[in-house]
Amino acid sequence: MHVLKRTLLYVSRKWHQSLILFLVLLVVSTSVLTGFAILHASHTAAANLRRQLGGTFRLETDTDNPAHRKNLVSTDQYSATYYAGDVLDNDDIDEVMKTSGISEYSASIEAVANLKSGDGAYYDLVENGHGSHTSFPHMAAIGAWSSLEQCPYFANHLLEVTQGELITDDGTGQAVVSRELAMLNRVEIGDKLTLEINREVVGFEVPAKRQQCTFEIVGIFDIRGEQQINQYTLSRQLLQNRVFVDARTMLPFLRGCTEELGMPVGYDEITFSVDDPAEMDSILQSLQENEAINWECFKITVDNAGYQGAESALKSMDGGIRGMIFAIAAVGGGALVLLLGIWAKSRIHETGILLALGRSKGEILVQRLAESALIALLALGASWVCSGMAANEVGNRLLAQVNRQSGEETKKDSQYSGMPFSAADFDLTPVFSAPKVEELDVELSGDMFASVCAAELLIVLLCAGTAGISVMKTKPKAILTEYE
Amino acid sequence: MSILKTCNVKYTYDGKKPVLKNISAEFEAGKIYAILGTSGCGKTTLLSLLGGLDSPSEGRVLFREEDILKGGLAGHRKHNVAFVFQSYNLIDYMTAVENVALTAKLAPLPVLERLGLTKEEARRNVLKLSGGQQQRVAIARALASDAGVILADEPTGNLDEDTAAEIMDILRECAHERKKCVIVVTHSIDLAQQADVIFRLKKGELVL
Ligand SMILES: Nc1ncnc2c1ncn2[C@@H]1O[C@H](COP(=O)(O)OP(=O)(O)OP(=O)(O)O)[C@@H](O)[C@H]1O
Ligand SMILES: [Mg+2]
Repeated sequence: MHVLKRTLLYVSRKWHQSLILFLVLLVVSTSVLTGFAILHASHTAAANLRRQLGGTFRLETDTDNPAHRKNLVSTDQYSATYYAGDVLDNDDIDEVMKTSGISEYSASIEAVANLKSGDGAYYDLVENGHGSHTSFPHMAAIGAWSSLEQCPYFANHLLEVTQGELITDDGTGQAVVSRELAMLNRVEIGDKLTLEINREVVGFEVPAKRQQCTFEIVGIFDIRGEQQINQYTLSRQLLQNRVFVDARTMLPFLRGCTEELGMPVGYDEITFSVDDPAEMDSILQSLQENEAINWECFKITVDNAGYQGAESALKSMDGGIRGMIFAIAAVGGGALVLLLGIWAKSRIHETGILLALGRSKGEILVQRLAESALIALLALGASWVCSGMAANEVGNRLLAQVNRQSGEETKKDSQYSGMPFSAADFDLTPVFSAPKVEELDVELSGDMFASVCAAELLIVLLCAGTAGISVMKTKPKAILTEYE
Repeated sequence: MSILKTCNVKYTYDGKKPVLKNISAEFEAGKIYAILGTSGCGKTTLLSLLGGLDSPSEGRVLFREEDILKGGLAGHRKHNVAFVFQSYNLIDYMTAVENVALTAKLAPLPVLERLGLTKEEARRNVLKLSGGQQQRVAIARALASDAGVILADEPTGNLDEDTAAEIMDILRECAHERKKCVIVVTHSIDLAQQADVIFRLKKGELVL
């Protein structure tokens, strides 16, 4: 009788034992496979979460560096200095954006200017409703932004462009005004809006030919949040009178206005977001190799906190899963050794008979190994199906968790709680939007399955082999004396 | 010419007191031998040496004039000898046919039928057969292996008198009609009487 036939007979006739072994192996391999699938998925989740949490760094002028400060006034009692180094301008943005791994930037400048329409007439401003008191009836606050998508007013939906469009990165000569201001001055999308900066506005002489800059109105916004307004609120502090323009056009205009003073105007800071916060260090390193940027005058501040927190949470989850896989494998391995050991003991008689019939020990061992391997293969096949289902279930849960987690992160960022707010103390830190993870692939790769199969078969064969050592120790004569 | 032969075989379990002292005997094909002896005198030990389950401390066992160590003990067990045990020693997860097929060089079913099992019984799990039927299966397994020597260790020890007589008849038939050399260990003088040659094992020595 062929050894494989004996194997099949044993596995099918001793089906109780086979079933127990099958179930043990099924549970172990399903858990291990699912564990690996979760591990794999958690890495995907980590990558997604990382992108969601984002990471930003700020490029700022190093105004505190004494090397770049000059005396403005210096008397015995009193001295004042001013920053005379390089300032951040549009070229610096372009240089930084050349670095790979940087996705977006946000640069903004706040200014004040008189508003004029295309025909040269001054705008009327919306009043605060508590009696206006301003000596500057046409002067409005100007927010110049590289892109209004990152402007917290718009990102947090306090303001919403309901007509036309937002100012985005490539826009030049663009302006967005409030519906109230547009209606009061009977302007609409496509009309020209001129900003005027003169001595009345800034307190020093501005050459006549550099006093004006003209924009085209591309969008009109509505105000969604409630403002804190009282009798002391200035007209230009009302959001209705606020004008948003693109920073690329605004910066050279402001420079022109202040040129005579010898005090260069630049962006105070530019915020850049990176594709993957895990890469932050290497991105900054390659950025700092760019010599077109004057690193003596600029410094970098990194905000990677959200990512680092999430990363450590994910790492500990990772460790937990690894521990679980290890524990299951260890317990399963132990159970396997025990079961196969006990069964091998109960089979000494059978072994003796086979030996007495002239079967070699090697052949008997092969039968033992083949039996376990056969059951292991069946269990592995079944576990492929089981862990596929388990992994899907786990995947959905992980996805929900990731989205919940990142949802909380975004909420934390939001400044607007529904309470009335004051434009005067509004924090203008740019907000970078995060994409939502739509799908989390928890899948069993063929590679993963193959390696688990190989490992499990190896363990099973090792256990069966160890247990089968009793075969090697059995003296064929024992059967005659011990079992008679 | 003898098929199986022992030359000055000595055997000891502990290295001191010998169980078998100086056994020289010859066994021929076509004959049935009985080995009689009191309990503990070393009958099973001798049979295990003849069957290559163990090797003698001193001396040699020859099969067709060749030392059985030469072809290996496992080979000797596989090709030259077949055992029939008192407790049958059938493999419990197999049917009668499958047990016989374990060693079979001949088709199992006809052998089983000739020994009186029905087809249905032959296909039953061996644990669901009576003791006599199980012993027939064991003998069938020995016969089907086509070995020249059948070594039976108290083959009727667990059976009633009538069945024992039937089994003995079968074994005798194996020797006389199939030209096997059958060696039966027993302590029943009645059974031994039916053998062609009776040996007695006394104090480690084999006497006629
Ligand atoms: N494995 C063993 N280790 C040590 N001594 C043994 C072993 N097997 C048997 N003996 C001893 O060897 C002697 C012969 O034993 P053996 O089994 O050959 O006797 P036996 O004639 O077959 O007896 P029985 O008729 O009761 O079966 C006995 O004294 C026994 O105690
Ligand atoms: Mg005995």
